[in-house]
Amino acid sequence: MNRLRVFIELTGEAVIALWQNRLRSLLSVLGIAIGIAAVMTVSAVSSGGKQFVLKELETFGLRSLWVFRDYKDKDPQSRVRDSSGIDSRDLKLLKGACCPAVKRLSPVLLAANRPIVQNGNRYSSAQLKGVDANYTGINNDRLTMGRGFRPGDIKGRRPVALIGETVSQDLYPQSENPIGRDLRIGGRRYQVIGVLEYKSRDLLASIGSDGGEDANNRILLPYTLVQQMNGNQQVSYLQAEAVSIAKAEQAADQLRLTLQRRYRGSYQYTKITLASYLKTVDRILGGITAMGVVAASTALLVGGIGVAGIMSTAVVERIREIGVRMAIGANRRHILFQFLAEAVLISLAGGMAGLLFGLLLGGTLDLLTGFPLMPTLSGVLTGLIVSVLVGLASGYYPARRAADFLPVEALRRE
Amino acid sequence: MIQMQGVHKSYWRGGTELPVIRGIDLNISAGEFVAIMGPSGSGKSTLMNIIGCLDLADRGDYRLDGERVSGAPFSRLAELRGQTIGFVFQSFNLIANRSALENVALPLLYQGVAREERISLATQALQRVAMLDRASHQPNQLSGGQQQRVAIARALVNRPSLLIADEPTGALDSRNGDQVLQLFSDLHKEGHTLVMVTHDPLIGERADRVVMLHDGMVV
Repeated sequence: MNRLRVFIELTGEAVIALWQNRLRSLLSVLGIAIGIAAVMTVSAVSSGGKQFVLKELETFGLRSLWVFRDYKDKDPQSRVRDSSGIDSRDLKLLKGACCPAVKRLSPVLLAANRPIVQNGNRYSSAQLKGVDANYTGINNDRLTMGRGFRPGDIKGRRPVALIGETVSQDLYPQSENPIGRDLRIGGRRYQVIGVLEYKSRDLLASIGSDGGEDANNRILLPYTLVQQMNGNQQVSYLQAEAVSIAKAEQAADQLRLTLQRRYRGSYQYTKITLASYLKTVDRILGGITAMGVVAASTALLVGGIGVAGIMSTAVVERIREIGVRMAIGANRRHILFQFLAEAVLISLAGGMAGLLFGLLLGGTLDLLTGFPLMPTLSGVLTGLIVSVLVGLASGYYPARRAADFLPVEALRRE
Repeated sequence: MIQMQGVHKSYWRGGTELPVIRGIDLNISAGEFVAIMGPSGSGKSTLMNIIGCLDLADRGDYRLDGERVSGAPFSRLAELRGQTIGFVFQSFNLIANRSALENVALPLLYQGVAREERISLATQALQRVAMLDRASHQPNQLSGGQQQRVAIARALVNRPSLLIADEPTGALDSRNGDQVLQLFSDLHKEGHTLVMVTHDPLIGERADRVVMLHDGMVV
């Protein structure tokens, strides 16, 4: 109890000593603050960057996966060379017990030829896609107006369409509500039942949108109608949602291998998952973060060296005081602790100032650029712990030197 | 109180050994006032530092209150300095930028004494040396004599059984020196064991016993 009190009181002595050298203390605090702020900013940028990318990917449904025929496969009999390798009968099988990691599944059909899309004398260059009622959910498509497909639309081959933002602008005057209006595809009349919400293409235009197509220039139709248009029962590829991001690969493999078994090696299938993009993004961001951390740590290292320098100077200046303190009963641990406490207080104050500065900087950047800089609780704690460690590391040698004097040696120094 | 046998101490300068204390036997009983005298370079201060546990003997046996000091761990030496010994220096050695009261209270901090009690004990010690009216003054606002009285109060605050003073009047004019000396005499009369280094024969006369040193040996 008494011992603990000594060390608490010695912390007070350290505070007094720092206050008596305020300017010097402040400058060393600043050195650490800059280092910590740099580290904070780097970690905030990296976690903010990850959020940013995740948000982009999320617009395509993070659990999305695609399975399609691998056209490099060999078909020795040249029997079904032209087939997509998937047809309507497969769908029933795939929606069954074969694939527990798959939450839901939609066939996707691309129109075999590009029919003209028009509304009166307005034309659209939209890509046509045949899908079922699951598709918008899997692809994380939201509607700004109208409704999505219902199973009845698909089964009944009802001529209804969901259109992208660009299509809506191309075909209808701004003042007009497109819901319930007509459009013509290859001469056939369809009714618009919904408009798809705008999807950002800032960063990841090519991911999850079939090789760079514009997600906003799409028309979704019941796949049964597109099959009719194409004149066969084929499905271009499958898009599905896994039960979780972690199970995405497994889900894709379940679909892929089921198809492969069904066609006994006539076709090979391949897969893409968004989860695999996620890993790539993680790796890239990790690399960038590592470089930033190295740069920021250098700033912190310089700050720490500054503290070590200041503490060495303080020990030399106060060597006589150290002798006096020893003469009146201070032991080595007391001296060591007092100087270590000074160093740790400096860098802890620097750490807190740096965190504050980092938050301010992050907030400003967020306001200016809209790039979300997220300081995490663990980041803040790490910053504080690191600053304490920097204080201990930079204060230890000078403090040890102070403590190792014999009282008589310290008193003799001028 | 103090028993020394065959104590040696050398300093090393540029690879050569400079013997400072060359085999000293010394016994000081509790309550004694002993003056250690001798020309400069005779080893007075070094002996003083060894007695005060500020320095360590190279060889020989030193017992304080029957406890073997030579060979004791550093932490025990610090305890002895903090609890058993009160040291008064020629150059006062008060800590600058701290009030007289804070200086006097400082030894108690290392003994884990609570703040209120530190202040109360330090106030008593300042009263004892008639410096209570200057309790809030900093050392540079005090005269030499006043500073030395504060330093004596600091040496007394832990109620040590042994007071050690290294030329305590050496930096003072005669009037202040007399005052400080009178204070030491009074403390001795109150029962403190007092060991004082001096080269002033007048001080020697006040002591119970004078130990004369020459070339690191008792003459």
